Amino acid sequence: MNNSNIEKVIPVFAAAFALVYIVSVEMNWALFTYHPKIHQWGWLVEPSRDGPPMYWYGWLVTSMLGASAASLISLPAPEKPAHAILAWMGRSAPRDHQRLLPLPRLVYALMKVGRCERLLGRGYKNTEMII
Amino acid sequence: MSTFLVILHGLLAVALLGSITHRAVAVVWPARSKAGFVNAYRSVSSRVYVNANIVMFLLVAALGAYIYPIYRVWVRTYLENARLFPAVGSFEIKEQFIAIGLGMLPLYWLAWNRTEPSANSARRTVTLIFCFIVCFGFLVGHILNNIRGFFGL
Repeated sequence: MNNSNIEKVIPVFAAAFALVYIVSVEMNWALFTYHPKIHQWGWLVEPSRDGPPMYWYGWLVTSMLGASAASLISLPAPEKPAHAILAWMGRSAPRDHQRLLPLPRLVYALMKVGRCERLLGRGYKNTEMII
Repeated sequence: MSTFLVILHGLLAVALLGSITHRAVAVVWPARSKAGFVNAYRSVSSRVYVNANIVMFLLVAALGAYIYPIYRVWVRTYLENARLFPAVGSFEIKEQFIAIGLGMLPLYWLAWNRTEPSANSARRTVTLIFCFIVCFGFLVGHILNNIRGFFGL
């Protein structure tokens, strides 16, 4: 990896780490759980075995992996930030940056799925209450 | 052993706090001459501190992570029983800040390894964020370490 790649990847890593960490904490996406009282580790999020479970280590590793993945994805991205932002937003980006267009589409699709699930969840709860 | 590690964690944190505060002052309020104590304090070359700060941050965070389970099992339950929820919440915020700081370490290194004047604002911002994280972490850790004395428990 040359210097320009490192200079491109590090800011992405830092920003992605913070974002993934916030999401990991909010959604509790811990890659593993530590049970400090019995000194045991478990994969993903586990309920308490004995004493309080700890997710912080898991959140850190999730964020590290997520940020590393985002950094790798950003490697072929264009140099100039303005172009990158335009490309990311899916607007009038130069032709060689068009390959980034699927990203906003994917985000939009995920948001749509999330919204549908939330609506379905609410509907289910309401039905349950009526029953 | 855990008492020794907590003291070591605290001592390293003091060193890191001194170093990062010194650096933040030099970045925000630089001085050219070294005449007098205040000017000498402000005129330190901030680049010299970069690697030392990174290593110390990693060491303090690693030690903190190692002794964290003791806090979680014994200290936090005690604080919750004593209904000292602001103290528990402060520690929760501290752990989030430290995690964000860990993720920002490469950016901190990069900002100080670039020589362009245009990176000045990035250097200043990242250094101040780190200074805030370290100060907050130190204060919260120090208060929690002495919480029985603070609240007369």
